[in-house]
Amino acid sequence: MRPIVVDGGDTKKALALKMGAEHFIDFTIAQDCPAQVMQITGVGAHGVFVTAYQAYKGALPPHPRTLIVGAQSHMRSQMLLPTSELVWEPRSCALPCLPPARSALRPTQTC
Amino acid sequence: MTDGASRSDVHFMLNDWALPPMSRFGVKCAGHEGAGVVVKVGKSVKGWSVGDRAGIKPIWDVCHNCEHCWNGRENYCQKAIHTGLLTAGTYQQYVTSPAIYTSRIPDGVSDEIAGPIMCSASTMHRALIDSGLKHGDWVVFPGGGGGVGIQGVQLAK
Repeated sequence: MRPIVVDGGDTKKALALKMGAEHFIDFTIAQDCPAQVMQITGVGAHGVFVTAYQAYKGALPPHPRTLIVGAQSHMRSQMLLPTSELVWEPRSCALPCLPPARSALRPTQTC
Repeated sequence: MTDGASRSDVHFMLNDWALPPMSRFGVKCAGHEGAGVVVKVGKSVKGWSVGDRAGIKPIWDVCHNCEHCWNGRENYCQKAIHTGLLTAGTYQQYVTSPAIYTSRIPDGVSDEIAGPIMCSASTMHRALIDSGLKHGDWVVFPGGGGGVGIQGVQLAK
């Protein structure tokens, strides 16, 4: 697969590229990370693996397959998503060392 | 025991997650991704010998007899015992592990690599396999510079 890493700082950039990432997007610099992903890939990401909980909201649409790694019930937040964006199938994968996420994503608003 | 240092252990020790403190379970030692060598075997244990290489995961044991355990999702077992929280963890030289749920580490994989595989790499591996993504697919890792994410980057590559 072709990894793209979104993280912050030069140390993370150097590590990510050394470990095999094809591209690195620095969220402390980039204005719009999803737009940069579109620019790099042309087609958008085939999959997104979110290990940084701060990125949950920004990572969700319009990616077709998103896995939240390690989502915890006490960190769950209400996400308001219009139905037009609910064309993808969200799934969550619980870290084995943590209580499983009861639901990582719960759309509470439809329009 | 060689052990991977994980931010989750810091959270357990700081008790800043919505979980009971370690002291509630009488546990003093954190740590949940360990690799080492068997130095003693219980008298009823079969299949393990002194000198075998063994790994301990974030879940120390499960019930082995519920819907989750039977369906390959034992990480959701409601009776799971979490290493370093409900039972003594791997930040120590000697630790016990149930024979039925101890991972075997093959020759050729060093303890330094095997330890973190017990949690961060196996988590990302499961996610990548479950995703059904294929060779050549673009995969984005928000947080990919962190401990878990960087394992995902290496496995995806």
